[in-house]
Amino acid sequence: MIIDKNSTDEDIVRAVINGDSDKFAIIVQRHQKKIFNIGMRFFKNQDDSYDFVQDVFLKVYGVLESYKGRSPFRFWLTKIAYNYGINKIKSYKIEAGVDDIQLKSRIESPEKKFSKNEIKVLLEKAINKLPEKYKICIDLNFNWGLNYRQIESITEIPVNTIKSHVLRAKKVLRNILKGTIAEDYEEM
Amino acid sequence: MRKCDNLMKKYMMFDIKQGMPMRIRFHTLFCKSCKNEIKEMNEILESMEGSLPYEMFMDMTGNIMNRIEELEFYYIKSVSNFKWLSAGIIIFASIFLVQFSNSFSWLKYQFGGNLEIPINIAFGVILSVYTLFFTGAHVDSFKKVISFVVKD
Repeated sequence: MIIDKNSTDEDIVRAVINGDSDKFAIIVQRHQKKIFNIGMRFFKNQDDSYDFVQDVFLKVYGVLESYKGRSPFRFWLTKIAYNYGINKIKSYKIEAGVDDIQLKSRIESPEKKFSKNEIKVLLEKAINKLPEKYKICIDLNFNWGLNYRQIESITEIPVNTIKSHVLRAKKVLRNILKGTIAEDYEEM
Repeated sequence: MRKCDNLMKKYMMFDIKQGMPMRIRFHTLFCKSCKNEIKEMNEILESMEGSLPYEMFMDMTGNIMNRIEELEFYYIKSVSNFKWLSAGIIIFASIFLVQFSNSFSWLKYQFGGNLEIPINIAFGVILSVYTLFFTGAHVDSFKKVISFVVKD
């Protein structure tokens, strides 16, 4: 089988295990931004997040043979990144809060899209006030498009806890949309 | 209005990745304000999907691949023992059974009895190549066995 950029993660992993180590670069290219974002959630600074990306991929490469293909590779990768982040953060003191400037500015063009971008930034600020592991839940739901069950299997946080934290984030979104950044925003 | 508010709370509690409950769908058919609110929320959530809040300015691929190279840890393609055994059985069975096959009798009839020698040479080569690769692939196992025997 020819492995290229269009191949599935699972096929690439099989190729790497069968000796085609160079193909691991496709996996890195494909998922590094997501892992970086998980890193930013945990460490709140770019340098540590870049180190985090490197460490996670080296770790994943080392244990690649243990991937049995029972769940999609991206879940398996996320689970490793999440657990690594949780363990690392325990022995790590976060020094500074996230600089709002680091938040991606995606002004897409017309007026409506600009306000959508503003909403996202406000929501992002509110999410940033949550404890790290809950932010990840919201990321996985909002940005990665995973459902509660899938998030539970990655983070091992009970579905009801995930539900309540996503609900809070949605309440904030609702309030922002209504134009009243009220209690829920402050609560978070 | 209160009904709408309760319904919106229910809607938000629900995992929208798994579809919307019938009750809410039914309500939105007749309630324009809820329909708009849900539409607006969904638009925002959908636009967030696939997008990531933090920009990554540096491509880490090169660094990571260099580190992997430094580690000198590579996956080697391995053939399962079952495949080795199957191939071995096929080779040995061919050597023993070829003399009974019709094609071999036909060849023998056409070209005479001397054909047995080149065929045996061909099988000899196949067997040697098989043994060579088998030994090469199982060097570590052989080493272990030898060291174990030597110790004893």
